[in-house]
Amino acid sequence: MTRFLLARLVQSVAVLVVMSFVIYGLIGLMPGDPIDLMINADPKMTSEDATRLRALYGLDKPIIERYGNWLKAALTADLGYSRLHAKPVLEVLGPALGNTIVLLGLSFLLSLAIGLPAGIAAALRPYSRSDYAINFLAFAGISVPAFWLALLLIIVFAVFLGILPASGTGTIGAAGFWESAKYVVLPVANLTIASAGGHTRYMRAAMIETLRQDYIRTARAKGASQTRVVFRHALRNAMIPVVTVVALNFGYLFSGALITETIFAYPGMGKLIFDAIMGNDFNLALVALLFATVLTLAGNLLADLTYAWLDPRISYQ
Amino acid sequence: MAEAYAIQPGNPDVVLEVRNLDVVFTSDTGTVKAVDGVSFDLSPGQTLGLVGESGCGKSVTALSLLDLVPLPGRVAAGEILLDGTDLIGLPDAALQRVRGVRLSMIFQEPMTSLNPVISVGRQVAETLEIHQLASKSEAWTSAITMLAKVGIPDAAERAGSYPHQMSGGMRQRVMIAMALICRPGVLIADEPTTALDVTIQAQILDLMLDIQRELGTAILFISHDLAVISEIADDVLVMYAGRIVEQAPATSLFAAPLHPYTRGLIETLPTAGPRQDRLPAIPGTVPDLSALPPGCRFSDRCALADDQCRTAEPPLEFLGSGRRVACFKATP
Repeated sequence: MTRFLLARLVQSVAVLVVMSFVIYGLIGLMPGDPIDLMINADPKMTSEDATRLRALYGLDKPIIERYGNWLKAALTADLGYSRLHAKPVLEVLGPALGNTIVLLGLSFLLSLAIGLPAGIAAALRPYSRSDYAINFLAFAGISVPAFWLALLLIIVFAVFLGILPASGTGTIGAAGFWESAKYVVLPVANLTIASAGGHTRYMRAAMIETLRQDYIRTARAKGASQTRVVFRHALRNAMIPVVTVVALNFGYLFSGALITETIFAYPGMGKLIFDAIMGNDFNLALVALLFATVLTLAGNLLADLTYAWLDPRISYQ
Repeated sequence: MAEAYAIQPGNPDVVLEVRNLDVVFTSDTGTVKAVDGVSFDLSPGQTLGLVGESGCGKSVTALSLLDLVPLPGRVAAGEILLDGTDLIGLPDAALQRVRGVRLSMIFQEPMTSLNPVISVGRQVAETLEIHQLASKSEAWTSAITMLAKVGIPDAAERAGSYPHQMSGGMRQRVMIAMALICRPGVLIADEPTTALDVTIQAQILDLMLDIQRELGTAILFISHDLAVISEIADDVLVMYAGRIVEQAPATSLFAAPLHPYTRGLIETLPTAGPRQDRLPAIPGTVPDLSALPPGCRFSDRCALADDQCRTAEPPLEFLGSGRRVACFKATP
């Protein structure tokens, strides 16, 4: 087990280094650089000034050399300065990370709490009215674009009903749990609806497939009740494929957060990445995108550990 | 003929009476009768073999006794009297009280019939727990005793193993332990040895007979393999295309088969000795249940068939000394 974890750690570090190079390259391919923005902001700047500044920031060097410099600094825990926020990158990341963890964590748990029971309920009576109803809602959740749903939620709950704030994280001067909690409701709902539909479909498919297995017939032949058959005999087996999809979905949830946070002006990692890319804030965008990679890697590791817990046939000895 | 199978409620010599059982499968293309008018009795301590080709309705008959026929199949008519109580139409809760305690079943595939994520000891103990015959710890102890009884070495240790850590023969022993731990009156064994190699097959058959002697369980033993049936069964039912075509005590069936189909089956058995040219085979294949020949279902494969066979269906006639046969050409 320790061996397995160590091996995965080494793999993860390798993936991160490769990803950092890919992301660095992609950012380098973007048109424009920070100096262009400085020129726009300051009409008195001459082209000699611009060349001097490029040399000062090292932007005139080939991309490989620039990446090498970045990597050397990164290995000494120096991730650079954020141009937009005029603060070290890590200081900017901290609060955004906290906000995103709240948003992603809540949506993830909620989408499981809705999707898995709904999927099981649908699987118990396949092709019945309740199954069709659940499927309809699940497909609606999967198909509705997140940006459209977000606008709809804002129009209904913030504009028409006026019971929830449209954006932000707090009202100045107001305090208390509900005061900050109500800002999270709409973004969480938006992200939850998108992924609960997928979880429902996967859980339904896995449960239907499991209920067809020979060992389910054996359990019934022993006199097990339907509840016992489903929860004692089928659920654990059905969860094995669902865990794979849910873990992959975790990375997908993060990309959903990018859109959701931007629309709701929620200051999390997603909005941070969006703003950093729009503002040519290389250092910040790079680290924030790497964080998305870390999240996906962590999701996969968690899935592997969950397999071993669910299925005695899998061990990492 | 029907009188001999008059229902005798409370007959102590019969634990399971099956009467005129029909099982149908309904699909878009029509309704097919997979089991058609099957009747038989099972007495305590008796082993009744049920033999026939693949698709003749053996397994469906077995599953219908526990109301486990997969959809879209269902029992359309008949009676299944277990200790005098009709199981057909019983609510789920009442059926659940019967399954595993009074009527148990062993399945063909030991590799897939055990739950891969539950330890074998737990799976055996569960039968007792479901029927509230023991507390959790008592059930575990009984499960270990039962696993030892079915010949699993180091039962106390092996009880914690998972199915994938066991061989096919060991898994089938676990299945037997699970099915018999509540000492059911009737055990249905659906091809329990088909997936096992021959030496293991013999061990499992011996084990079933040993336990039967000890508990007095009645066994309905289903197999397509006449050789296995000849080793274990007291009486044999031969099924063809959903109907019983012949019933006889095992010794008389193999000594003097009456139905041409039974004769054909027995002739196809290979015998030890110098190799002959080719094994004889019954010509043709089992008819499609949705397009049965009008008369005897075996008529288009039967060398003896004449006009009567092709127009009228022969009834299942009693011949005395425990024999029944459905054939106009049967020669006693």
